Amino acid sequence: MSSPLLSIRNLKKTYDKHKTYALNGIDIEFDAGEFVVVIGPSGAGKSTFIRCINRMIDSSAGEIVFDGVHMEQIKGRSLKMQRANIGMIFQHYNLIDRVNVIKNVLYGRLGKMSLFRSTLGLYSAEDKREAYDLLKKVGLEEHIYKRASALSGGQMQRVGICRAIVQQPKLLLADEPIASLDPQSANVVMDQIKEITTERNLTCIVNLHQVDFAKKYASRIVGIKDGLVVFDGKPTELTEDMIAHIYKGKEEQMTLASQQHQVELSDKEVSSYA
Amino acid sequence: MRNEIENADLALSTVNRWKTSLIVLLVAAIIIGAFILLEINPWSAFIAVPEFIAFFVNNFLPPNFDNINKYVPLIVDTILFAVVGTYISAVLGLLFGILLSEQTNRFAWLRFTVRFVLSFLRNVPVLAWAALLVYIFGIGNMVGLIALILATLGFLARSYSESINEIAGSKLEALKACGASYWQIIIHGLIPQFIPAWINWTLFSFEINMRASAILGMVGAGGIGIMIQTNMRLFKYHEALSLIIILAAMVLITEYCTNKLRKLIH
Amino acid sequence: MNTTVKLSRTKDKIRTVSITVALIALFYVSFTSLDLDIGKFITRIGDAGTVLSKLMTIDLSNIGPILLAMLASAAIAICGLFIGLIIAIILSFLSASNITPNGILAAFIKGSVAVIRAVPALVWILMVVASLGFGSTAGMIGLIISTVGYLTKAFTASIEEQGSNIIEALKTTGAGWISIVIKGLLPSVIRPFMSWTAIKLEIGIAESINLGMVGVAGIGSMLMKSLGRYDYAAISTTIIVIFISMLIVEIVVNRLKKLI
Repeated sequence: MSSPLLSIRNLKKTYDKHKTYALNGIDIEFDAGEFVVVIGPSGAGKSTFIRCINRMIDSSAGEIVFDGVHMEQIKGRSLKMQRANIGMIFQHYNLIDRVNVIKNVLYGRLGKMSLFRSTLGLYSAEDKREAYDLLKKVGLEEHIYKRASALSGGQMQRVGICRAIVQQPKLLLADEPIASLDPQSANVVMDQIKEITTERNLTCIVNLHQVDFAKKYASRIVGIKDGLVVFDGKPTELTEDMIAHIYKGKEEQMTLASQQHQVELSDKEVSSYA
Repeated sequence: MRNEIENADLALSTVNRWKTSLIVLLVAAIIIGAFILLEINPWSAFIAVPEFIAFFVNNFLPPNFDNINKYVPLIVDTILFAVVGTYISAVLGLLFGILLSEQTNRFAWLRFTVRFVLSFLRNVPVLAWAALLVYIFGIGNMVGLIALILATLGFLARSYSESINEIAGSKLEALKACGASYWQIIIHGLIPQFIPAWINWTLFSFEINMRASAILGMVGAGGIGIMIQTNMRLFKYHEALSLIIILAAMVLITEYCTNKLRKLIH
Repeated sequence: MNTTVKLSRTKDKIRTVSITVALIALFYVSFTSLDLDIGKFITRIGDAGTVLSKLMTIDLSNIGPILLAMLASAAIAICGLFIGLIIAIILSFLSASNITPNGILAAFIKGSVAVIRAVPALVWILMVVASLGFGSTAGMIGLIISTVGYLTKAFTASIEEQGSNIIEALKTTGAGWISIVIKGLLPSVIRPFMSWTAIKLEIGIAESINLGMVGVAGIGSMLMKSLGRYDYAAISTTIIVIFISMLIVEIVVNRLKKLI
């Protein structure tokens, strides 16, 4: 068996000089093709965890080995090259509002281009074709010349997905990709992430606080609480007791999500009866 | 229990009342001190203002537009100075704005140096700069232009860097995560997002420049201001007033146009 | 479909390119028609070095008069601000569209204020000096004019922004104009008024220094005199005093704005 794509050992992060730890020694490995959903209440350290992987946040201690490279040791050019191999999707989409959709997608190629070529907009024909095909796949081919700010939230997140995929990454990170979306757009976005990663056998790590979505999409669920991994297993192994343990004291975060889900289910029922 | 709270409220409001009356007294003392220092009787203002108005009506009115053709080149120059000065300070201001923002400049010592220099530029008034430049380089229109640029650069760079700070937070994180380099993030992320603020502040600085280029002439740096002063020295008040009216009209038209442009863009 | 994918619509591209070309052309035309004396300027840069090196001294023996002159400049600004403030408060209540006792009066005040603002403070000073002669009074009058121009506009906007509900409420109780203004409006606009006044204080001190340079009084005229005497140490000392004082004013005004 080959070595894992990403292996993390004793990862720690403190924001206040070792008084308190957002991550308190995480040990975990991820294999190629997994669709991992990280669950936990807000403040559990999910966002810090995912950002330590591509060094958007520098960890305080521990090892992060991605694709055979120690992420915590590299900097400058080699860090940028590694980042170019990791796609990322954000809660607030983080598109450049005033730039059109297709250029926003092509920004995913920046890490593999020289400043000269990118400034003049000299993207290769294949990159442009790929960007267009991806946008077509997520149903946005009508909107490619619109400014990103003219899109709805769900559409923006689909552009965000295309931008991450056009990087041709080996790993896809998604930090609360549906937290700012209505339930219907949330389903569309999760479906598309799942579909594209499955097609490309792409490893994907998604932060979600909604347990129902986690169970629906994940091939593996990781539960984080107070900076530690408290659950790691198949969605079917995630018991109600374990969920209650992970969200203890912050139950309202999952009930809100399940309520949304129920509304949706009843909508579906209504439509099936009609 | 309830009584205690009420008492506490009462105590707090007495403290506040003390504080307020102390501040009012302090402000009053400063104002009275200022009048004493200058040996001015505040009421003299109410005598001096009517005196000034009477003088104005008798000596300045009506304006004399007879020699206006002679001044057209100066008026055009004033506008051109404002345009060129605004361009240069908009570009330099962006550069300094980037250097000033901690989002785009990681070197604390460099940020500190730039902040100090800009604060020096901003806090020494325009005419002092102009006079100093004339002193160092001699009279000439380059000096006027540089004084104009100095006059707006400090203000523009500070405003720009505040706008940059607002933009730089989360949106640019995405480009960083793609592996984009520092300059790629600035060119593809920061600048497109920054353009509306850039236009807005730059139009504002054009308004300032119009006024400033009109007064820089007073220390010999060219423009319409020098003719206003010369005419007054020669007691040609009617002619001076005609120039002042033209200047006011230019300022008002500029404001009108920049406001129209702002609406057009948003 | 095998055509190449374009990065933007031709229409958008034409628009961007034409705006860019127009902006560059405007700069080029303005720059060339200014006929700048760049050549002369460059030849003088060498001399500038020697002047600058002479300026690199300070002379603290004269610091007393310099500080006093700075204080005088600040005092002119404060006196002008104080009287201008009172006038501006009265004018703004007479001209704010939601409380003005007379529409024609309001239009007249607003028009006059626009004219006052369109003429730079320094030009007002020149006119005042022409009629009253040099001195602190002329400086104060000049600053009163610029304060009235600045604050009346700002205050009127504050009243128009905040007042309408209060005015409606008080009108229904049958309150008269003066009691609406004093009991209803003043308490709700006092904070923005104070904050505008603080900002104007900073601007006013800068203006007061500037008008000293055309010969009124204060540290500006002191700077002009030392420039005339080629007294390098005095020039740099004066500039440093101006810088430090303005820095203190800036910090104090920022504090005040936050406090308010």
